[in-house]
Amino acid sequence: MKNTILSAKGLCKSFAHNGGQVHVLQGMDVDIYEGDFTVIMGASGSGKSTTLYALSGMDRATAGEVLYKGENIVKMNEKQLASLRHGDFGFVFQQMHLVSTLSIFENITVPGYLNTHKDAKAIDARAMELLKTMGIEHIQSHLPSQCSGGEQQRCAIARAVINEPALLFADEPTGALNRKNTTEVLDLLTELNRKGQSVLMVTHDAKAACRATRILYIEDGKIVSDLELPPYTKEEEKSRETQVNAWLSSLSW
Amino acid sequence: MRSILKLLRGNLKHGRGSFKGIILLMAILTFSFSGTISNNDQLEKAQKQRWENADMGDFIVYINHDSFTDEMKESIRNAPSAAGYRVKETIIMADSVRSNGEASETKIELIPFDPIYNVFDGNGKDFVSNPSIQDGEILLTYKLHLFSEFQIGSKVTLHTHHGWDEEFVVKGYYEDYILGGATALDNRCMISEKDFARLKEEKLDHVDSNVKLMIMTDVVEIYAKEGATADDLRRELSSTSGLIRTANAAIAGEYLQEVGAMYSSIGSKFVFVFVAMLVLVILITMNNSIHSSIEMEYTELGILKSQGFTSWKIRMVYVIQYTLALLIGAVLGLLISIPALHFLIGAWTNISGIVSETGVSFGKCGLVCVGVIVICFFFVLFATRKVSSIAPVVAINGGHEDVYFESRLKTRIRPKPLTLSIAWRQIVSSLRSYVGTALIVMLMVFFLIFSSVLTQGMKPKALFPELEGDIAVTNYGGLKLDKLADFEQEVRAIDADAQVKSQTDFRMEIDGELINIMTFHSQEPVYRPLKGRAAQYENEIMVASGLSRILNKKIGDSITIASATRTEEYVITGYFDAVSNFGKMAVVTEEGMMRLGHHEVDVAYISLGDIGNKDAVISHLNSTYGNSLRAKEYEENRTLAIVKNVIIVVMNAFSYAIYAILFIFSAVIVGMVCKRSFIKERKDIGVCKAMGFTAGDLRKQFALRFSMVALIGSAAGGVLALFLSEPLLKVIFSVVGITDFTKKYSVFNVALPVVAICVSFYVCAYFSSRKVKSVEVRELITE
Repeated sequence: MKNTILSAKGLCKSFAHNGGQVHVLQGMDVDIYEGDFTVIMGASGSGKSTTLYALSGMDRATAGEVLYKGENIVKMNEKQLASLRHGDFGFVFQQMHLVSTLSIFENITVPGYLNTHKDAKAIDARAMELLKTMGIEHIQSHLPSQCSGGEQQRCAIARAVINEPALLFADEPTGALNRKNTTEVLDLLTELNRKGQSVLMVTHDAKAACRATRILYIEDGKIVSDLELPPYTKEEEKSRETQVNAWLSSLSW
Repeated sequence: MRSILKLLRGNLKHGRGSFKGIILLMAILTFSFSGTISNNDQLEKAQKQRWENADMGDFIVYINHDSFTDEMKESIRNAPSAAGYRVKETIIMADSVRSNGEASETKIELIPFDPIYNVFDGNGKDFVSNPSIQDGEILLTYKLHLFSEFQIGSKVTLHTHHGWDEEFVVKGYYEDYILGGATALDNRCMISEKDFARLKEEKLDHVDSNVKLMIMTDVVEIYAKEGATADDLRRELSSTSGLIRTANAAIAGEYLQEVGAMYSSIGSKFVFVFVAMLVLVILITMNNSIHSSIEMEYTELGILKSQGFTSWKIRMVYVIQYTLALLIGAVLGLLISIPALHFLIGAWTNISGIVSETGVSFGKCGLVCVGVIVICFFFVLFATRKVSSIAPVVAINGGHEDVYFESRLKTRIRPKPLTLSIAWRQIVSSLRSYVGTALIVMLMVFFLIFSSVLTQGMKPKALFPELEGDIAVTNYGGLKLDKLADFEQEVRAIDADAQVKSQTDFRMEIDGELINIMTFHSQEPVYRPLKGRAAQYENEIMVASGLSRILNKKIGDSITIASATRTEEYVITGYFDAVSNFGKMAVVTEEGMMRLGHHEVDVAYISLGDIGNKDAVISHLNSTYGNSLRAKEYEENRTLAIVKNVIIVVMNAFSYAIYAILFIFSAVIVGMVCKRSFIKERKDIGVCKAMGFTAGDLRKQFALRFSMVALIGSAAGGVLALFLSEPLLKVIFSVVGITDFTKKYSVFNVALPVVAICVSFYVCAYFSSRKVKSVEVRELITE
């Protein structure tokens, strides 16, 4: 029996557009489980990124609730959301979004420093450990503009996990990367998940989705299908790809 | 041209290039100088018109009627540069008048009614059309309207050698354009010609009288021939007769006008420095704005170039945009000045004593505006030179602007205090963006310290050192310099610890100049030497630094002083600072004064050991000396009090105005820099929010960043003030004879500007960064 880490009920999100309203999410119900590598897939405009942002509290849902540890994220004020962001959740953007004036090392440590109860030295040590894990130790003093896309994204992942979040959100983290960097980033996320990190990732890349232990398919703002997979191994990659592609085909992907 | 205008329109529509900010800064700048220029100009015009109407002489000699000999009159008639002269009479009252039966501590002079002077109506706003005066009435100089005891209908009683027997009713106030300003201590009042003639006939005292309560002074107005100057007249008259050395004052007409406009001209010089500083601030702001604009629009500029725009065309867009903003700002500033000047010039009548037009001097102000705009025009042209180095391909490919423009300087981010540490990092990692702001702060703080030091320096006590005591003794002929020791002993018979201080002034000729020579009998020096030492022997003299420049004499040099009866040599032993008489002053010892044949004490003050002896001492002195002196409880001279008050009001008004203007400037500049930083850092702000920073944290970061820049700029401004304040103040105050300000620095006048600027930057930055709240993390989403 898996523990639910995040639970959404009746999640709605609408945007004003050309004087009218576009309803992107229409009463979505979803549970995200602890230890899972959950991937959200769907066609362009299906609402997968919107779902991710609503679930992570980066954007406020129009209606419905998102429960985390019994608290409704939708109702949280700015301070509570900020605390959630530097405490319980980590986030990786498609375009990395590192702070341009901070070095790679500082981009990783600053969210750690926001947790005032943590020892700064311990944060620095963990950042160094993450830099090694991510293979970007040699560029720690570089500014983001001096690094490649892959290096920046690895830095973004390290930043997202510096506070050992309960849930790591990733919005198409490989979307802006080349093939080599894509594999490296996915390997990192898989490794993190293997060590117990819960991950919720949005992607439209079937190859990236193969790393998941659970895939949710969204259509018109609703989850229409849910695929469970065993933990990823390199050896089974081909067979997983076949399974995922077949599942996606059944959903008119 | 059409393409340039299209781009310009686009820029203006989207609020690019700090258009509104520059308008506001230029409007404030124009407003700042138009007030002073117009006030000065209008006052000068009014003064000139009055003097022309009155046909005032070019050289004016004030001399006791009894001392104005036929030989002197002959010397004027024979002077090669003199075209003629006329004499007007003035009665000088030695004692203060009583108002409604009460002592007033105000001394007045009397002149016969002259319809050439404008008389104010009851409201003091306009003039009456046909001024007249009845016997028994008195028209007071306008500055006395500030005193409650001299309101219309009050009774003014004069002390003559017959007692308090002359009473006049205040009919109103008149415009004394010669000595009516708050810069002169004289209170010339008009009585009817008949009353004047009667007083002259019945109550006048003479030079040889034992009691001198009412003395007639002749005001000799001498006209210079075409091409001759007042200096020529003075030279000729001092060599042919004793007129100058016997006179109480001998002044060029122009000089008297300058006295009337003293505050206005100090203000002008002060505002000139202020305006120069504001222009520099505007130039730095424009430079900042242009550089950020090029940095932020780097790609767009590359695209424009790829579409065929030349660097020159792009630069012209900037030039036109900024020139237009300056032009609009100038017009706006002038428009705001119209109502403000109506009030300011109107209020200035209290200082100048002259009613002048209240309009803006569009010609002069417009000229200054054009000057500022032309400077800015060429500056923008220079500042946009970087546009030429933008290569279209590099720009379109995103260029390397982050690396290219950003500084490589780094400081460590510290967990505690994180916000401060990040704010500091933002500064050092983008140093160039803040250098301009720091420079602006430096100039502002420099100016605030400068004006603060100036305000301190203008404190009345620093300008008009005065003797004080528990009892004031006005001498009507009974107290001599060589008898002061006896006088002191006489007082000590009643109060053993009493101390007597005295002051004696006399105008004498030094190398052709009529100078106020003073001597003090005082335990503490009244004027402390800036350099050298005070006079100790009878042949020594300490001169005001302004006078040493006029005479071109240094310490150790000899000067010749000529009084009406004697001519003696003195050696200069030191310099001191003085504002009275425009610095034309010197101090000798009591023996030194007597050496020139002047033995009478003007005024004495008694400080008592036991205040309980006051009445006994007063009563003893008044009964012993009778009419030859008058002892009474010490009270401050009321006319001097007006002058002091005016100085305080003027200086406070200047200070508040400067603080207000600089606060608005800080707000506008911080707003402009904040806006640019906000646009540039919008993404970073979103990322920080995603990391877990609250909008409040980020706003604090913004505010701290600007406060730190302000602190750095303040430190630089403080250093600048330390080196530059003194020479600048010397230039400004050379007009009134003050040359030394070094000793007037204090923690207050240095710390207050720094704190004021840092706090205002913090507040303005916090307020300007309110848009941080509007940045949503979802903006980082790539759909």
